[in-house]
Amino acid sequence: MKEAGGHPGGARQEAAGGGSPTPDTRPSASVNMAVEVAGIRMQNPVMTASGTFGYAEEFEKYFDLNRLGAIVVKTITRLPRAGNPPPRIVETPAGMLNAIGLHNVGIEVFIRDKLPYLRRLSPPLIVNVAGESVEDFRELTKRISDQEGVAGIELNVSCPNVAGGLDFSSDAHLAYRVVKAAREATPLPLIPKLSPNVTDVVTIARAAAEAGADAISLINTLVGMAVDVRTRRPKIGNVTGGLSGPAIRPIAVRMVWQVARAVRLPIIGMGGIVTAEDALEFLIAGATAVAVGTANFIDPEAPVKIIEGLEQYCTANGIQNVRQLIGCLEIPSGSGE
Amino acid sequence: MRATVAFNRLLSPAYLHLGMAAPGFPATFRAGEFIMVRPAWIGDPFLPRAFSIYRISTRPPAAESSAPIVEILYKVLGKGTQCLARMEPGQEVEILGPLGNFFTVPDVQRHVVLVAGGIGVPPIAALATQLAETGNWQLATGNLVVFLGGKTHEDILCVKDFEEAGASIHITTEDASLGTRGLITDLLRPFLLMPPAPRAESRGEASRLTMYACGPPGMLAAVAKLAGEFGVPCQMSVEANMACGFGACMGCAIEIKGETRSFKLVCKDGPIFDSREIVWQ
Repeated sequence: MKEAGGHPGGARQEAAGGGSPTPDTRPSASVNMAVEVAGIRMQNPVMTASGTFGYAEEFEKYFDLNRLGAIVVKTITRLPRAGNPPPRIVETPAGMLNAIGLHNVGIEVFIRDKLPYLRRLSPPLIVNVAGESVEDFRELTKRISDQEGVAGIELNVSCPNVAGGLDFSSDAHLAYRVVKAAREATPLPLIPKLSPNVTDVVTIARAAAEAGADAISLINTLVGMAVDVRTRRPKIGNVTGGLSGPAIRPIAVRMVWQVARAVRLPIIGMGGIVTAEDALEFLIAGATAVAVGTANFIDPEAPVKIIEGLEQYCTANGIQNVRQLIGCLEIPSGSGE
Repeated sequence: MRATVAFNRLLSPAYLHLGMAAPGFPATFRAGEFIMVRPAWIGDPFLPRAFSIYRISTRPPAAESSAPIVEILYKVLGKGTQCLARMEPGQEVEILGPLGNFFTVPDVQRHVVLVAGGIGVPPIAALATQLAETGNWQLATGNLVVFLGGKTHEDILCVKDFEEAGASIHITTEDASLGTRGLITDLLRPFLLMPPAPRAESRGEASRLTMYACGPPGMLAAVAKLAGEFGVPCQMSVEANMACGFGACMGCAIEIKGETRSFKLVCKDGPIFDSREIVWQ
């Protein structure tokens, strides 16, 4: 269904000496796209954001999943969760509100039914977990790290749609305790995903770093609300929901930039990335990798288009290694900073 | 997949018929399946919209493109459909599909009762057409009955499709501008109390009715109640706010009966559900 070939970077490919390692149809690029996040080696910096990519198999008919830099699956909890009553989502200007309520199969079914499929895919797998207590996080982390084929664990300490979900990352002490407990339970890279619904995200990021986090994901959704003026009811069953999409991108870029300057950990930047240009904003602001989220719903091929667009940007700008872009933000003297 | 608007015609005030030439789209579909449609750009409106497929047609052989034309009917209700209504032939749209499950037709011959309210008609009209086209179905007059309802005559669409399918047609409008004044269920109830006599060769099957319904939630709930009361199996095409259409966002939850509170996804587990399965709000 997609046009074949015709990659704009094709003209420069002869310089690469035919070195594409995989026999797929991807154009071999002269750009080194590989990055490493907390010891997780990725063939390119584009991953999927938890909660927007299901358990990956939902997307297999739309593109070759092995082209992704890494795969992050939907949040897993200790027990299955039915999720919130509808309506769970509503469109808002340049974005959407959601209150899914961590609808998921639970860790045991995940391990039995979902993990074997994910293991067969080549991109590193990052499993996202959420607990209702510090103990939950410890147990989940332990259980996941006992499994084959898991490259890292993302700690969802910031889901705004479940009781207590936000607490873990709105308080530096709690964030510290959760990450610390998880740290003691696993040797795998730990990546807390932080909430933007805080006074100072840098304080929380520092606490996570001190507790032993290996990288930080920024940002989860912003708490929002929409009202149906006809019925005078909230448009979301849960009353409030998490705002995602391009509407939140400037906030996400700002937070990535702030944390990148303050904490010496790699950052996975996310929040409203739809195009390669959006992804570039995050890399330039200091993210080592980016995650595509809500865009997956609108265009299931979005991650691949973003990977291709990043390659094209590098080629067009004479950048041999995508890592040159990370944190290359230039702030002109005399600016506010 | 990229598609090109082939036509976008007004059917009656606020209702349009959109055809999109979609190279690579399957030339056939099963009634009940849906597609996601959005403009070729990502912006405002932000999310794609779900529409039941009404028809897939092909252009005459002489036409410059042989791409199947995927057809939907829609009512201009909000930002997404307003945007669609402004689309002109030649403009590009993005579509995804066919998605979801579809109506299943019983193998034992039954009276088929179709119920459609307002803009819920496209999958029901598609089903009527497909039933009429299915060779082994052998419809005779009286075996296919359709109930169409709306606020006014402007909400009654696809009558010609049902006529061509050989259906006997019952129409209700709330303002009596067409058919009988009232709601669909005002006619459906007496019908279920006294269904038509079966065809000679299917004698003994008089009680064997199957219903198929699509329409606003209030109508579906009322029809589901009637179906339960008369013990008639009923498949319903339901609607929900949806972001992706293929099971990733988990936004289109619908509550399912059971011992514990549980939900299914309209896009992946539906959009067709057994009416007895759903918890009606």
